Parts: sequence; C-alpha cells; structure tokens
Amino acid sequence: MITHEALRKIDTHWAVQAVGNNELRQAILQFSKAKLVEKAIGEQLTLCVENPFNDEDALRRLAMAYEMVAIEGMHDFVNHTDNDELQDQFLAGSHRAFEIYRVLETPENDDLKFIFHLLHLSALAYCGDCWTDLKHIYDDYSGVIDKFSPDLMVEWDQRILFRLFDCWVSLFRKNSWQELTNITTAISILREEQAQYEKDYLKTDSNNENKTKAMRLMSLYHWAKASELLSLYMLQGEPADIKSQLDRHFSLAIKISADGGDAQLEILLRWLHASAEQMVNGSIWWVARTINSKATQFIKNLSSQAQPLLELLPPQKVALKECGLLDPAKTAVVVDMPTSGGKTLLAQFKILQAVNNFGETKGWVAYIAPTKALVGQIIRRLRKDFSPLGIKVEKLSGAIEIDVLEEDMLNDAESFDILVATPEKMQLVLRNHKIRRPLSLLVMDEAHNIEDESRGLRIELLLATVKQHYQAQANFLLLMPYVENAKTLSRWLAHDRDAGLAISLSTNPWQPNERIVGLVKKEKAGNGWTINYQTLITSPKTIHLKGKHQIGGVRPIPVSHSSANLSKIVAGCAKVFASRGTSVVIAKTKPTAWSLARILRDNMDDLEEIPSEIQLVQNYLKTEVSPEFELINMLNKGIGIHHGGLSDEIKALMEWLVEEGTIKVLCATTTIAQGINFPVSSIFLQSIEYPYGKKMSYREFWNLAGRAGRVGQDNVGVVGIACDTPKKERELIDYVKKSTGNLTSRLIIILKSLEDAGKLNALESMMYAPQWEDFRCYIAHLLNEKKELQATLNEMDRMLSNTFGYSELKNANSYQSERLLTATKKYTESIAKNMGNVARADMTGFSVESVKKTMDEINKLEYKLTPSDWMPDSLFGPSGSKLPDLFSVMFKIKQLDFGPDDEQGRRQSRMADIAQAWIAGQAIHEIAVNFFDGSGSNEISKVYNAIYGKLANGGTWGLSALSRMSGIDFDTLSDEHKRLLNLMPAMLYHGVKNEESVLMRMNSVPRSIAEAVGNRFKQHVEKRNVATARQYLAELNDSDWNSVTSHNQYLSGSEYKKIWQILSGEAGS
Amino acid sequence: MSDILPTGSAIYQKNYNGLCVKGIFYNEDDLNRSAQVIADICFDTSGQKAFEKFMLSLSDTGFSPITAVFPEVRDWQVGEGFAEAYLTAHLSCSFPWSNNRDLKNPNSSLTGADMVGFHQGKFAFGEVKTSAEQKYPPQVTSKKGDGLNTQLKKLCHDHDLRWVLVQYLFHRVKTSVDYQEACIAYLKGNNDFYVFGVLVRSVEPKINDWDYLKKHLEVHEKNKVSLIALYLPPNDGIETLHACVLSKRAKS
Repeated sequence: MITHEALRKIDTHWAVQAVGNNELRQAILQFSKAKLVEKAIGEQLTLCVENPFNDEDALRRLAMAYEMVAIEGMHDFVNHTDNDELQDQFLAGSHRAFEIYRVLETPENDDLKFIFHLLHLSALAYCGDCWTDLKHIYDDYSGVIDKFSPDLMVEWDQRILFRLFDCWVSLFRKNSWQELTNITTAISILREEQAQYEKDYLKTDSNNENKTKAMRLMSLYHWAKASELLSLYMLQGEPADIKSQLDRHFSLAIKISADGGDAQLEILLRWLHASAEQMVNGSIWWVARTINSKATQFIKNLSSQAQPLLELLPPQKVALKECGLLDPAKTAVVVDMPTSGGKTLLAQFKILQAVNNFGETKGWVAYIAPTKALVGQIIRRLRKDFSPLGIKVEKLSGAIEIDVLEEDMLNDAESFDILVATPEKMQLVLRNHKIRRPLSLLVMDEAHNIEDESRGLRIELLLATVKQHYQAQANFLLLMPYVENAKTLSRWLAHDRDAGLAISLSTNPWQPNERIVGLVKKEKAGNGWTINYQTLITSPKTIHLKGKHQIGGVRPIPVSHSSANLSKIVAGCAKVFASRGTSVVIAKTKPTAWSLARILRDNMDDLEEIPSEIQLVQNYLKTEVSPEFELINMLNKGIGIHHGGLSDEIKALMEWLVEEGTIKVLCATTTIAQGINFPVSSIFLQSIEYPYGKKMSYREFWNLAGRAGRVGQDNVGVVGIACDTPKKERELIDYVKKSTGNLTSRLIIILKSLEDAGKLNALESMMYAPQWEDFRCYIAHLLNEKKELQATLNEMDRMLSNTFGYSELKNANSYQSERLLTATKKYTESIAKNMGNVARADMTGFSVESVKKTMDEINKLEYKLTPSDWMPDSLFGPSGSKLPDLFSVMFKIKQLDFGPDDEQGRRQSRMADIAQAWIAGQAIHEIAVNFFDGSGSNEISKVYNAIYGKLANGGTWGLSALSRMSGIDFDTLSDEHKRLLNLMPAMLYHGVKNEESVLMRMNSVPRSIAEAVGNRFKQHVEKRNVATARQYLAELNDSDWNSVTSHNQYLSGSEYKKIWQILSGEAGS
Repeated sequence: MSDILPTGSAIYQKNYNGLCVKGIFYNEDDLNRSAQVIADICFDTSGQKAFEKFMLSLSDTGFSPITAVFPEVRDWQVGEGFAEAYLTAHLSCSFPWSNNRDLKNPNSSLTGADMVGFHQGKFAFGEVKTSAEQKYPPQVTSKKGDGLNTQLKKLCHDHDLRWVLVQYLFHRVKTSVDYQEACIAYLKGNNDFYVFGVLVRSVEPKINDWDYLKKHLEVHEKNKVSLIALYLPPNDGIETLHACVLSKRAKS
C-alpha cells in the first residue's frame, strides 16, 4: 500500500525536481486540487482562491514527471522483483500522476484519443490505489462511452479496439455481474468476425504496411485473450495461474506492438498489464485464495450478486494479504482503519475463519457494536451474507436485561453461531456465563469507545472480563478508526508478546475519497448575506484552498442578515448541497434538529415525484406514530430526521432512505457521530458539542467527517462547521488541526485527574464516585467468581492486569498502579463483608452500593412485594399495580440513569403510566397527548425519549433487578410464573403484552401489528422461539400479511412485509 | 565498426522565422562511402524471425492464424537510415534505440515519429520523407494527413504525441544519462526540445524544396527546428543508395 514516506520519497526524484522547486510544485498540486473541487462541487461552491495559480502546462509537466517516476518502477512491479523500493515508487508515482491527470482536459472529440486517454487514466488510478475514484469519472463520461459502437467500425483493428475498450470499461467500473460476463461474449464475437474482416484489412499495396498491420492485429489478439482471462478470473477466481497467463499474453502483445512500431499501443498495454496485475492482487479470489471453504462460498456469493463485490479496497487488501489478519497465531488483532475503509468485510473474513474452526466444539462468535442502530445494521449485513452459508446470526435486544426468550436462545446450542449485541448487553452474557459453548472470537466494532467518558470503562472491563474468563479459547478483533497506538492495544489483549497484531492503516494516504473541511460563516452582501466557506488545514490533510469561497448564492435562506443564525447558515449549506446527494446537518440538541428541519421544509421544494420508498416510510409513520407527524410532510421534500428522540425503527428507516438515495437532507444531532455507518455526500455541523456542552472528541469528529463522500460516487466529500464569532473561529481552526492521538484507558484518565487534583491519596474514598461505578461492579464480579476474599486479594494484581489501564500503568506509572491496587483491595475487603449483596450485584449488574440502596428502598415500602405483584398482568394492568412505587425506588438508583426530569412532581407515576400505556398498545401520539400535553414533534420526541431513553434501559434493567432483590423465592414459583416474570422486561422493552408479540418484535415486526401476527404465529406454530418466529415470518406471503393488517388504513400487507424485510434484513429487502 | 558518414557538400543554409534550412549534396562516391553506416542502421535480421514467432503465438489466443502471406524481403526505408546517419554524424544527434523498425503505425491515433533521440542535451524528434518528385517543393512536404508539414506540426505542438515518444524511449533507456538530461530539460520548460525534418531527394538541390514549410510551419520555439534536405544524384540517386546499402548487407 502506498505510504506517505513513499510519496515523500518520489518528490526527490530527478523527474519531479525537474519541474520546479518545492514551492512551485506545491502551487501546481494546489491548482490540481482546486480544479478537482471546481469540477466536483463547482455548482454549489464558488471558489475564489487567494493568489491563484493556473498554469495548465505546468500541471501537465508535473503529471508527466510523476508518471515517469512510476514507469521507472513498472518493470519491477509487474515482474515482482526483489526491489521493493522501485515497486513502491511505481505505486506512489501512479497515485500522484492520477491525482493530476484526472483534472486534465479529456479529448472528447477524438474517439481514438478518448479511448487511449480514458484507459490510461484508469490504469493510473488502478496502479495508484485510486480505483474507487474511477466510478464517477466513468459516470461523467457515460454519454461519450455509450455512443461508442464497435459494430459501426469498418476497419478491423478499430472494431477490435472499440470492443476491447468496452471490455475494459466493464473491468474498470465493475458495474454489474452481467457487464463482466459480457466480456467473454465480446471476445467470442471478435473471434467470429476475424474471418470476415481480417482479410480486407490486410489488403494494402504496401507489403510493409500490411506487415505492420498484421503486427497490430497480433498484439490486439493477445490483448483480447488477456482481457477474457482477466474477466473470468474476476468473476470466478479461475484460472488459478492467472498471473502467468496474463504475463504471457500481455508480454507478447507489448513486444509485438513495440516491434510493429505502435508506440502508443505499446505504452497503453504496459499500463494495462500493470493494472491487470493490480486488479488480480485486489481480487477477492486472489486475496482469499488460501482461506477456508466457508470463505470461498462467501466470496462466491459476493461475486455473484447483481452488483458484485469483486475487489477489495486497498486497506482491506493490505490487512488481509500483507498484515496477516487471518494468521491463526495472532490471538488479538487490532485494526485501525479509516472510516469507510471497509472494516466490516474484514471482520466477516475473520468470523468465517472462526466458524470454520468451530468443529465439534460448537463455538460462537460475539460481535459487539456500540449502539442499537449499529447492532441493527450489522445484523442485517451478517444475515444477508451468512444465512446462505448456513451460519446463524442472532442479536440481543438493547434492553440491559436478558429476558426469558433470549435465555432460551442462549441455551440452545443450535440457535446461533454469531451473536450481535451492545457492550452492555454482551457484558451480561459474558460475565454471567450465559452461554456454555466456547467463545471463539470477540469482534468489537468502533472499539475506540474505550475512551468514551460514560461507557469507556465499561467496554474496557468487558474486554478484561473476556481476558479473565475466556482467554484460553477466544481471539479478539478490535476495529477502530484513527488510533495511533493500535499496537499497545493488541499487546494488551494477546496471549503473549507475539500473539498480538496491530494493523494500522488510518494514517496511510489512501482515503475513500478527497475531503474538504471548512468553516461556514455568514457575510454581508449588499442588502443580503452569503455563506462564506473557509477551508481549514487539518490533521488528516484534507484539501485546503486558501481564499474566500462562497456556498450558493445571495441569501440562501430568505431572512435578513441579522436573522441568519447558525441554524440558518447550516440549513442554507445543506439546501445548496442537497442537489449533489444526501447532506447531513447536525444540531446540538433534538429540538434544534427539528427546527433545522423546519427551516429547510419552509425553503425547499417538494420532490417532483415522491419515490415509493418515501411513501412506504410515510405510511409507516402514519401508522406507528401519527398521521399528523411532522416528519411525514418533511419527507415530501426529501428531508429526514435522525436522533435519539425517534424509535430505532424510524432511525433504521431513515438510514435505509439515505442508502436508497431518496433523502436530500438528514437533520440529526451530534450523537449521530456514534452511530452513523452510512456514507453521505456532505455534512454541516451547527455545533461540534454534545447536548450538555461537551465537545466531540477529535476521533469522533473525524469518524463522522469520514462519512462525507460516498465511495465511488463523490470525488470530494464536504464538511462545514458553522461559526459566528472570532473566538469560536480560532477554536475550530485549532480543533481540526489536532491529531487523534493515542487511545487512553478511562482508568488512566481518571487517575491522572485525581493526581492532578491532589486526591490520589484519597483514592479509597474517591472510588465511590459515579465514574468508578463500572469498576466497582467489576470488582464485585471478580469477588463473586472467586467466592473467597483472600483468594481474590491474592490474585487482584493479576486480575487487574487484564484491564488496559492497569496493565499500562504498571509500566508507565507504578505509583498510580500501586495506589489503584491498594484502593481496590480495600474496596474488596469492604464489600466482602456482605457476600449476599456481592452475589446480587453480580447477578443484576448493579454495583454493591446500588444493591444496598435498592434493598433499603424496597424495605421502606409499606407492604411486602409478592410474586403476583410482579406478574405482567398485575404490574402493567389497569388497577392495583405496584409499578409507581417500583419506579420511585428506581429513580433513587443513580446507576439506572433516569436523569433529571423537569416535571419532578409527576415523574414516578407518570413513568409508570407511560409504561402501562406503552405495553397496552397505545399509539405514540396518544401517549404524547396523554402524558406530554400535545402530539407535536417535540412531544413525540419526549415520548420516544421516555420509552427508549428511560423505560427500555433503566426501566427494564431496574424492574428485573428489583424483582430479584424483592425477597421472592423463585424456587417456589411455577415454571409458567417464572417465565412470565422473566418476560416482563421484554414486554416493557418492546411495548407489547404477550410472549408471541415479543417474539414478533424481536424479529422486527412493527409494533402496530405485532400482536395480530403473534396470535397467528401462536395458532400455527407449536415450537415458538426467535428462530421459528423468523422462519415463520419469512414464509408468510402477501395475503398472509394482508389478513393480519386488513384493519390498517395506511399500510397494506405487502407494505408491512416490505417494512419488516427492511428492518430485519431478511432477503428481499 | 561503421565508417564515418561523409559530410557531403553544403548547397544552401538559411534561417527563416526561427527555422533553420539546410541543403547538402551527396555524390555517388559519397553514397558508396555512406552505405555501410546506413546498412548498420537499416538491417534487422531478427525482425523476420520474431514475426514468425509472433504468428505462432496466436494459437493460444483463440484467434485463427493470420493467413495473409508477407514476402520475406522487408520494405525498408533507406531514406530514414540515411537521415538518421546524417543527424548522428554531423548534427551531434544520437538515437539510442535504432529506428530500423519504424515507430509508425498508420492506424494509431498518434502516428509516432521516425526518429526519437537526443540533441545537445535535449530530446530530438525527427521526421523523414524521401521523394524523387521533380516538383519544388515536393508534395510530401505539403500533403494532408501524412505529409511532412502535418508530421512536423504535430511534433512541435502535440504534447500527447511527444509524451508517448518520450515514454517510449524511457522504457528502453531508463538509466541513460543522456535521457535524464533531456528529460529534465523537457520537464522544466514548455518547449525545450528539437525537431528535425529531413527530405531525401534525388533531384537538383534547390532551396524551393522548403517553400511550403517556410510559409506554413509554425515552430514551437525559435531555433529549435531544422529542415535538412539530403540531395542524392538526380534521377536514380535513391536506387543507387539502395543498391549500395544492399551490397553492404550482402557482405555482412
């Protein structure tokens, strides 16, 4: 893979130096970037570059110089010589040459020149690891390409050349399976036409000319054969000796064209030979040719999709081929890769390797994604790709409790091979040994969340738990962007020194596309105002064009200059850029996201025709939320919303609409930075702060900014941050310059802050602060596992060494590590006095302190809770429910995070009432009216916040934990009662009132019909679990769906089915 | 070791708008003395063998063998050999990659050049036309399509064409100091290269041979384009040269 070092090195090459000094060359490169930006977003952004440089000839000379640098290493690259330096030079030279050639004028009026130009450019892109840029170049010239017709050519050599051009266009852009299969047909046609055309072609008077022409034909025939072989290989991975066959035909084609005096063809063929080599190197067949049978089948499926995946992105190729991602001796692999670099595919290969090695052990793979939305996305992807291979993938709900149906699933060895969940949920599973089968592999996506202020420690301790309990069998794969110390992390998790592997590719020059990051500010323009765009110098070296550029025209939003606040500015940017592809605008809070969407709604036109995808989602919203829901009309204009004040389903549907290309502007909050996994065209931030004033970390910002620009579609991704004061401007300029730096354990950060505050000596007492809660839980767990204090204390140092923070501190700061060890031991001694509470803590996930508090509060109730109080009918029933009292207990447990509530007086009964209404099946807008005094967007947001923010998390966890601490003797309960009790959290989580409905909701059936479909399922299926429910749903036809949805005025059965397919990721979506 | 090409007799030499125009006459004796040098440039005994090998290689392309019959004797452009020999011997040009196989393919979009090499530390591109036509200037200097006028114009102004030639040469002489020097000059400035147009004539030497080009050729830069007419004895000069060169081949 091309490195910054290789790029720096080629700048010292004599050919590059010949063009001019460094200053001049920088000016030329800047000019090429300006041209690129102008070409890509010239309609939206008027560039006004300071001290413009526009010497086209200099541009051309620099391109030539870089190409020369490449050519010098071409022989070594194609022939795999020992000279790595020259091979690197070839790749780096091609990369730079392509960067410039792509902005040079294309000879559109001369067919032959065009053909040679485009193939040459494509070859440079391939050899320079920039092939993802080719798709939009081909899109730009699709009109010219389409008009070429080999059949219109009379001269035989031109017929061949035009047809081969067609073939290589297909090979380079890989639009579809069909296009590639057509190559074999095209070459067969040429073979058939040979007899018809060749004779006439070789009939000139001059013997010399005939001979030269014959040479040209021979060269073309070899090229045709090479093209056919390459297309077959890309599609099927055969022939196995592809490289030697390609070498033979290309070498002959080149030699013949050289001898035949066809310099232009010779040079093109040399480039195509190198690209073919590069194409094979990146082919999924070549990269994965040595791995297992499951992977082979997986590749076969990927390559035969309508839009086939035939080739790996450069970082994927490097990770698999050069870095040894699949080396079985490496037990802990940490992949640091740029956003959109294709990490999930790497995880899939690693998972297949693990599944292949399960053998008789019936192992399993844990896949951890940071948010419920990402769990949903991953499950959809894994099911789509792995179900055809017979690999079972299941997920756990976002509730911090394992309900009875999930228990069933976890206990059934046949139910899944891969389990996807959030860290909190997976922690419950792993800590409590819920799965008896061996854990083979743990994949942690977005693992940089280890440094997250609120969840980081929990995630680190989850990994420590796996190290503690599962290290003998489990391997680790951590995926993250922009982490400089990946090596340290891999060493921490590995069995031994040599078993760690860090694959660090974030800082490599390869990026999915170019990016431009800048400030957006308003500027007075006559009576109006304009949006000024000022590009910034950033740590990842995005495009910087010094000058005052302008987004859109005067008064992009029709308000006065003084009324143009930050919201109006970013709305204006999004409105202008929406014509290019989805633009995301990011607000600090949910109400601001709504108000941004309203500004846009008032200033954007309705879509000419409402796409069926949008209509489907609108009908869903009418049914599930309210026919008056504000988002429905916004969707008419292509405006979507994505934030925590919406259900997971709505967010998933918004993401789907973005993927389908129907959303023009998506209004979101800063929290999207943690959950966005879909590429967009541009991103405009009203603020880089989270709702409570904390700034996004640099890593989070760059992870978000990395989504700007869709691979293969946008050559420049645009990011804008709104700014209204000089102070903020200075801060932002500084902010984007900062490097993402090392990933640091929260333990280290907390200890450092205590030391800085001179409180490290009081660590024993400081350990009771909320930020230590996860740590205390972990210690309680260790103690509960050991059951015996002294044994725990004796092993404390070893057990703490399983954490990233402590293991690092031991090397770097022994004073802090000793303080931590001492304080931890003291804390352990203190909790060991009541081992019952320790056991309760470990069972519930509460800290010992929360357990004590809960027990105290339960004891304060004026009555003793009985088993019947906990039965769902009673708890969520209309009268005599103890739910309000239970909520009053839960509100006092800080760990449950019910957070501040503006309406203190009403909260305990209101939360219980909301829970009851939710389970009773009340529609969202009814809950909004009944409990939040209205059904506007803000009220709807509040409902979702109450349900998904509070009930689904603290509510389910708290109720379940309370039931275990309420003094009920579980052994005296009947199996049916136990089951009902254990079902209660799931009912609350999903908002339905029986087991079958829960099964439907677990399988993504919309809530409005979950009960009806559940009843039908109950009638038809005897063995009811998550898997049979999914199978049942998959087998329902449109009329089955119709029969359960006939009452619905907005969604037909087939529409419900479609929604279900989208949300569940089942085939057909 | 080849003999040195005789200097011939200078007939005319003038400069017009940055064009240097020159006429040199070679008598029969000169021709005899030139033959070996030219033969060394022109003859390529490996060419025919390679051609046959290439024909055989088609069997594994899935295409049928080419059935056309090509006589063994290659048409060779003795004029081009003569021009190259002259530029090398008397204008300190060097052509590191022999152009015994011409660089032209009539169906290429870029039709190449007869000669690519170096002159005074710069790239030198040359085109050659041979003509016994009695008219002044001969049509080969003004003919549309592949006339000397069009070819020289392209060399002066078509950077894509020149870039192909520069690359072509680079693939063959990557490590040469001459190449590096010329290439640096080429990459440094816009138009730092030389162009040579050579006419091989078997008529009375007259400067009018250049009338058309003097009027129509726009040079890329002054004093970087030279037009040279090599006059052989009128009427049968070209045939004589052929015979001389062939005899040298026979000897070797």
